[in-house]
Amino acid sequence: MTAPVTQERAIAGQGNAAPAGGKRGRRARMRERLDTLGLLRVLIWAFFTIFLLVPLLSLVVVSLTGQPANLLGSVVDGTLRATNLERLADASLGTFADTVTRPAYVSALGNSLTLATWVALITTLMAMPIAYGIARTAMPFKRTLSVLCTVPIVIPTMVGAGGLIIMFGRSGWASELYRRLGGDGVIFNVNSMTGIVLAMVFFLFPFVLWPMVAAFRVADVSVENAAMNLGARRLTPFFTATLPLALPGVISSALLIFAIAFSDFGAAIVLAPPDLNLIVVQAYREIAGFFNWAGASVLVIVMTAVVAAFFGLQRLVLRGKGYGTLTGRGTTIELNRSTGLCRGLAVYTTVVVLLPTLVLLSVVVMSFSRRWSSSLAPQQWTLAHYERVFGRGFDNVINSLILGFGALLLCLVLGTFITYFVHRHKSTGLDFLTTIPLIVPGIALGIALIQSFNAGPFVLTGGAFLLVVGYAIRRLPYMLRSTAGSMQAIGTEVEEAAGSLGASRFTAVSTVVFPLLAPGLLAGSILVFVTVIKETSLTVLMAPAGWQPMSYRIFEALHRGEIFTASALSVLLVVIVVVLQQVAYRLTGGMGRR
Amino acid sequence: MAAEPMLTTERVEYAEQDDTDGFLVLRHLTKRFDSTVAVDDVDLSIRQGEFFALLGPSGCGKTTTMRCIAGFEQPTSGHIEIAGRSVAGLPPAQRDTGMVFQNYALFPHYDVFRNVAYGLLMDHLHGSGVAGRARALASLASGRLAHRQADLRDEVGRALEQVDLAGYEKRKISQLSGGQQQRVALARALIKRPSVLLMDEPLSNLDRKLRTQMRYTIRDIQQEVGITTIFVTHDQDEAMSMADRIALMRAGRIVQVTTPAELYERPANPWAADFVGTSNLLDGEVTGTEPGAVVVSIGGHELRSTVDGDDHRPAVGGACTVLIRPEAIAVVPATAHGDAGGAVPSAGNRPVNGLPGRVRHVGFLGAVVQYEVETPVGLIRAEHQFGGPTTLMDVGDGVVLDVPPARVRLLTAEDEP
Ligand SMILES: Nc1ncnc2c1ncn2[C@@H]1O[C@H](COP(=O)(O)OP(=O)(O)OP(=O)(O)O)[C@@H](O)[C@H]1O
Ligand SMILES: [Mg+2]
Repeated sequence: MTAPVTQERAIAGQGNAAPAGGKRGRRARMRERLDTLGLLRVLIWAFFTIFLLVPLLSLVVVSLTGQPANLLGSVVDGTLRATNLERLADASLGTFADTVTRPAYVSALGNSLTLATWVALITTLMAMPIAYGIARTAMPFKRTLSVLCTVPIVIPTMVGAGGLIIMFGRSGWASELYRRLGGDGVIFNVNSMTGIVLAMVFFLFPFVLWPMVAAFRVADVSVENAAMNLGARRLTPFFTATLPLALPGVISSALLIFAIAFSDFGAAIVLAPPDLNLIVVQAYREIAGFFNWAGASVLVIVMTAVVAAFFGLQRLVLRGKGYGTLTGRGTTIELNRSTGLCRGLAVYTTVVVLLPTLVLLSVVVMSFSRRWSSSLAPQQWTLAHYERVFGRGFDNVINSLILGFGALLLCLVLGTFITYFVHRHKSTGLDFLTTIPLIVPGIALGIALIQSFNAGPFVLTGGAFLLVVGYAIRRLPYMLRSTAGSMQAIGTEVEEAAGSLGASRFTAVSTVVFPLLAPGLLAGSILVFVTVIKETSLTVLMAPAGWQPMSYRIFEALHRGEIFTASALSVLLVVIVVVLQQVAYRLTGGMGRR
Repeated sequence: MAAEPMLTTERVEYAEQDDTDGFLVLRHLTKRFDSTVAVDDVDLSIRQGEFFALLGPSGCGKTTTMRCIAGFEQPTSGHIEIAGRSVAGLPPAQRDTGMVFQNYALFPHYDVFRNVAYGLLMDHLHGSGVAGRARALASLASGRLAHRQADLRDEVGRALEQVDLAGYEKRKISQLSGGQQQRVALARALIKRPSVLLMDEPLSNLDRKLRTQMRYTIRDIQQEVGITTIFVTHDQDEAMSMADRIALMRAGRIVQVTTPAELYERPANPWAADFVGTSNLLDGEVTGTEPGAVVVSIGGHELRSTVDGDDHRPAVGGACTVLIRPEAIAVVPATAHGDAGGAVPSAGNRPVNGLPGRVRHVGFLGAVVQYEVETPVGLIRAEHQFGGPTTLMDVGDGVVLDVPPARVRLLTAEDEP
């Protein structure tokens, strides 16, 4: 088979009067690789190496040596390299083992696992009837209830936790109601495991609900009908036919919510009492309180490992199944119209969404009240909190927007090109790289970034840049998820057509592929922006003094017991998020129609 | 891979014969994808201005061949030359080819004008001069700015006129019918006056009626522009009705390169005969030769075939396949010949083939009547012009099939799967 190749070279050489065919080919290949697109690919890899891989690796090194590590600095600075190598010589699994077995850490891990298990169990069981109701029945007020079921998504768990305090705290109105009805003290202690579980259950359940709805839609309805025809009664068809088919989806949702609850920062930091050790809170305290890099690294590595394990399990459960996304759409679905069942489900759903709705309303009312303590309604009303928020506090709003747009811009650029490289050039490396942020909890990413960039020669903490980078890396998967669909719909032919008409690879991609990617990019942008401005863990860890966004102020206010300010800010945050989402849906809807 | 001798000699013949006037030349072109050989040692030589069809069943490597020419695939080995210039290693844009894709691959976010002007804009964009580049960028960004440029307007107008779409400049792609989109794609491919036009199943997305209509439209435009054209299709009607010459492909290899009429009348082997048109293929054995004719025996029945000079003459005693096209067979009522059976003498003194049989099916299609006749050598299809109701035969009628020896072709079986 070598003969034709040599011939080809010889002829090619003649045709182009080039000195040597082989050399020409190599140079052409070099040029091919190092055009604008090739360069961008190198830059993207460099970006992720510097801001994700090296910081994570540093964490591992820190956890093994018990000392801070400066890997990036070591690359450029000889003395740093020497000290780091010296420390590295002491690296041992023993250091890790010693740290991880400290009683406080062991109990923190145990408590967090318990918390996540409860949340996963309760949420899954609680959401299952609602999912069935939405997916498979003609339940009344389905649309309204569906909307109410998505509301908790726009509320940071931190705000939900704050709302629970407003309602069920010692001087909360629900506690007051309870006492008036003859109860004693409070219904339950908000600052406890129960409180945290409740906050998570009611503010995280949409993350379980919607994938489950998709799973129930996939399960073939005719099986259920067949079971009914065969004489199965009441709940039998559900348990014998529908549930088994939807089970992979249900299990995967449960695993997902476990991972989310395990690493959720907002509710835990607001509600955890001093004597309740949770791993997220512990990791935060090690850094924010004691600058204990070794302890914090070990803790977040354990967290990442747990999340990764559940993430892997979830993939395993879903392998070969075509659903598990938020937009599972089956063929036409036959709905269960049994009146009793539908009404029952509607009532049940209303009861479930009642709590988050009341919590949100309490926050709103609180934001307008001057004094509201141990009574059913505020004793005095005021607009002062909003005056403060729009006055001195407006910097935080501006910061939120700037940081959000910064992260969004970065996500747009990264997301666009990564989508292209992953789908067109089959870059499995980039594909893998961009799933890493999914398994790294916010607190872990935050600690990794601070650890790597708080010492010379690359000091980036204290500025907005590192925070924006952190946000972007953390939310990039959302962007990629929404662009993937658009990308798959764009045939390779348009790009080839552009190429054959004289466009360079970069021009072809930017004049033809990217404009067609726009709908996906827009949808992704909203997701990114919204999640960034309600992001808690990264913000609380990393926000520098001059760049504190709203979420930071809310956290600070809750921490200091400034419940009015926290409420007003929370309301504003939720309003911004909702407005943006509406605008986005309008925009994307308009594009879809055109 | 024991290549069958006849095919090999034929291929060499074509290569030699055409090398002098080949405008687009493929030599030993091979393209492998991992384990599959999509294109296997293909030699082709296409003349300037020729309308050349690549015909073959699905998966035979037509698209891959074309993509190698266009520069979207790099050949595993072999050589491609356009206008005497090797295109090895050249990117698609520098090959002086225009391409029309199966799904048109129009840019849905641009209007007709910018779709067609895209090639020109790319020249400006990658060309020299900051002002030119800026104008190209602006035109890509805004349709209004693009329309305002006189030079673009002239060129695009000319191209659109060519495809009969003058005045459609401002339409969106989604506001065009399938046939119009097809013609925009053609205008876009022609705008830079390439020397070769490549079309990959351009008609397969159109409905049937439009498809036949577009055949002539495309052919007319091609003739008008005078552009060397390669047209990929798996539809034999399309290839036959449009092309000057056809290359018949199978499993990555070229089976035959010839004109439509030759392909129909002298297929290289039984597979080619079966692929193009309907055919009666009968297995037989050469039993003897007569002056100007070969005698074959099919299950005891003798048929005579007059052999033209350039035909490959099978050896006596060798196996062969007999091809008789349905329209070559005259179906005559048995009574007209007295007793059925044997060779029936008719006017003139050349040998005449007669096959007795009984009508099994009659298919009346209006202009044409199809018969399926049960004969001792098997079921034979015949086709007649409809000559009035009285000429129609009924199922069960005894008939004699009269086959002119000049239309009895002897094919040597190919030994590929
Ligand atoms: N990118 C590729 N990777 C692997 N195999 C391929 C690729 N492209 C084509 N093939 C294989 O090469 C062979 C020829 O494909 P090609 O697309 O050229 O066929 P075709 O003649 O155009 O068929 P059709 O009429 O269906 O379009 C097929 O077996 C196909 O599966
Ligand atoms: Mg094809």
